[in-house]
Amino acid sequence: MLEIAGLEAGYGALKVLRGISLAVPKGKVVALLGSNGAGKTTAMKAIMGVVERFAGSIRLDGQQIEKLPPHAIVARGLALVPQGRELFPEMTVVENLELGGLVRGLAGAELATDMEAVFKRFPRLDERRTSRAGSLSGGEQQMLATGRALMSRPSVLLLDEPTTGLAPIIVQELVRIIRALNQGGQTILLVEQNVRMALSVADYVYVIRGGSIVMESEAAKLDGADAMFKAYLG
Amino acid sequence: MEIPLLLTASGLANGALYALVALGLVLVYKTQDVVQFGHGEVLMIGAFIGYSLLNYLGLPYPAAMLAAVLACGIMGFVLERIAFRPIAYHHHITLAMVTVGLSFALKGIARIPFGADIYTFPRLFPDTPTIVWGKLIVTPQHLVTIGVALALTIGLFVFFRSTTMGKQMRATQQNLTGASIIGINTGLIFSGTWALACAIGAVAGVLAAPDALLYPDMGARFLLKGFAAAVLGGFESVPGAIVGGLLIGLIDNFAGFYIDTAFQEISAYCIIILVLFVWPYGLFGRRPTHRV
Amino acid sequence: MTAKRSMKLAGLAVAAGLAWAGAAGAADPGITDTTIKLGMFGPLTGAVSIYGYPINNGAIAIYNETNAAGGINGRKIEIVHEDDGCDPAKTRAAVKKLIEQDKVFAIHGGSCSGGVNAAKDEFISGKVPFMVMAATLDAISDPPNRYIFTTTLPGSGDGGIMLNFAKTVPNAKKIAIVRHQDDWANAKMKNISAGYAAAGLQIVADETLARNATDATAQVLKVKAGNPDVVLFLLYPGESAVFLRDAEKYGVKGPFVGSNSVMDLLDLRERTGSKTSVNNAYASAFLQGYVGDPALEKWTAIYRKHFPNDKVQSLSFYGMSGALTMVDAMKRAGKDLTREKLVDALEATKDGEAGPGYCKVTFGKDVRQGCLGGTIWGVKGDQIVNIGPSWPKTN
Repeated sequence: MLEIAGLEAGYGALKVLRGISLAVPKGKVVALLGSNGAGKTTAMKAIMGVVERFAGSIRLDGQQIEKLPPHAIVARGLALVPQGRELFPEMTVVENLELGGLVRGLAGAELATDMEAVFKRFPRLDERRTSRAGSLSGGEQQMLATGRALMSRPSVLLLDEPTTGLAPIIVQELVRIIRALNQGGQTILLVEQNVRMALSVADYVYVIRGGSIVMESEAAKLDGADAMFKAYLG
Repeated sequence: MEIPLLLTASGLANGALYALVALGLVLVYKTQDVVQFGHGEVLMIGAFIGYSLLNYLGLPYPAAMLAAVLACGIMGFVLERIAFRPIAYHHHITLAMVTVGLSFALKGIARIPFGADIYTFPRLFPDTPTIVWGKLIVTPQHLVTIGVALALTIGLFVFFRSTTMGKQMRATQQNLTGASIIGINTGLIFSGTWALACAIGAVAGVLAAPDALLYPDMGARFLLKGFAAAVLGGFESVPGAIVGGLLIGLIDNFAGFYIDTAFQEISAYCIIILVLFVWPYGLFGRRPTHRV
Repeated sequence: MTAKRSMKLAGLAVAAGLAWAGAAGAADPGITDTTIKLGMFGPLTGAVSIYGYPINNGAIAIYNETNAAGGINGRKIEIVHEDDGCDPAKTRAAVKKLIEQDKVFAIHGGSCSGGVNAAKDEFISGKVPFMVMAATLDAISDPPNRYIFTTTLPGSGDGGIMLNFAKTVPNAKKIAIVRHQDDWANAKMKNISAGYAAAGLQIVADETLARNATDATAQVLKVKAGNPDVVLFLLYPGESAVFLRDAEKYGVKGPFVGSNSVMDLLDLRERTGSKTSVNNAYASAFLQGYVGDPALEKWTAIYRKHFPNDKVQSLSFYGMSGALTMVDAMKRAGKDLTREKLVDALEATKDGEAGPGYCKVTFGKDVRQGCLGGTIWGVKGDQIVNIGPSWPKTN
């Protein structure tokens, strides 16, 4: 469970997040929706400790993590699949996954088991085990980034705009995968611009605008065509 | 055949030193995108530490050299942490200026106890005469240099391919953000990379010093040659640094003999300019791949 | 008014006139009835200060010794020190300060050629007598200027000593040269280039070795290919060691003749890391002997007396010949010392004492390089020996 209260964050003098609060309950998929520049990616980076946090608290399974550096946050069970995927382009698929498991100290049989689980989940990656990450297609890279994050056995998985730049057919595949992950008990915080996609997988939705949460609701109660909802998303 | 053979042997020995210097430059550059202009002085400091342990503490030769390498590794670790990390995200020019400052500072520190005198650095095998195998003439010191450089290259290859730390370093070099979000302690990697680069620099220093003599300004020439080697190798490639270094050593000798010895004075500059204008990614550099 | 009285008045007038004339004569700056203020500059800070202090201290020892023996015609020498940091701009400023602010009478200083050369105009326009301390650049004293003197062997002179020795090597026909590509080595080359043909020598290899080079394989192999009878090396000590080491490695036999930068042949031998590397190596020298040589006993004692905590080294002797020459000329210039009189006295110096220097100091009209003589040193066993300017008859 991830709980965020009054989080303010930004870049030096520029405050992007103006005190957001949200909760990602265990086993749920929560979506953070917003238009370009609303502060979604900054929120993700602030949670991960990559962006400077000015105020507020972040609790992961009851532990305060808002003062920790990224590597310590990952070690406590948070994993981010970033928007730009941020893979290691000169390394193979296997090496990328291996590095994902390092933070848990995975080695030998344990590492192999986890990696096989990823390959089972992403058969496309299985075929390309020894390919350089930089040579993969966009969809494959997204899968690799997701697989790499899963290798750290996260208690909460953060997905930052996983569908950006992907063909509709790949988006559908991703939706299937996210659902499958969630059914397996994975807690997920999903950041999206693609409202339809987000509503199709999320249990609960927050809308962010200008660095503040302006609306929240159970996903089932929302209609993608809702006028107010649309207005917030700009 | 005699002359090319002799030129090759000594060219490889010199080139092995340039390769080690280039390696240190490339490692830091790959990790933090900055050319460490103080790297020549790291070599000098390593050599002076080795000399002091040998002469003033009376340590056995291999122990003194190993301790010097270790000491430089620690120095690199600490330098990165206190002098470099706080400004690691500043503009490239700022970082480069800091490394230039580092170069002056290290020279200044060395001058406090050692002055501007030139010291003689003992050889590992002082009493072994020059080795003659048929037409080949080679000094024991050159053999040691080539051997150590070769062993170190293999060691590094294994380190980067097979150890956790090595893989984390490569990951950090390839994608800093990626590394930090999967839980790699990138700060530790930065310091560790400097430690490794400085330790390799110290190896070059203690290998070079018996031939190069020991004085606070000895690093400048090695930095220049190492820089040329790194440029030739593409500046982002570890194998490139090695091959680049060996080539520089060979080019110096062959061009010196067959064209003009005066060429050696400008060879490094010529190679740097030529590569940057004609062949900007060097022998092993990849064109930057743009990812979306 | 009686004749006697008028005589007395006239006498007074004459005396007054003389006194006035005397006052006018002593009106040059830096001179009082009891003191002569002398300016001295050199690299006293920075990396080169390691050379600056021993060189200047040698001169100071001579001046102190002179003061202890009663001074110069009743006047004691006072020295004003300035730091030039071995930097041309700083040197100019230091000299300007000595002349205009400290108002010194004459100046003895300068161990860095670039700096001294840059400050030349200050002495000339100020008409201040100047003795070079240890800078070797020919251009400082050639073409000559009335106010600038040197007892330091200029670079060209060093090359001349080397060539003169080389041509006396039995059956020498072919010479090889290995040198740096800079002003320092070019100065030494001047007399060699000008004189080798007349000496019946042929250059079979003329190679460059870079500053701070650590390997001389290409140079040595080219020298070897030329099969020379004598090898001249115009290199700094470190590079000389690299060259001799590789020459031995590849079997080049020599004889090798170096410049006075490697006067300390034993130090050179140690740097090569080989006990046999300097067996057939020689060096041009401008001192009468090496450090510890009985020939330098007197001068070593003087240095030790005034700088008991210093290590006596070759550098300790470099400044002494200039100081001895200055003292001698100031004494000869007489009680009514003026700058112009000092210059005249310096110019009249003939076979003057150069102290630890090998030469005798001689200046003349348009002759400002007073010390052109030198000798050749070699090594016998673990001793540096003075061989003399030409190849010994029996070796």
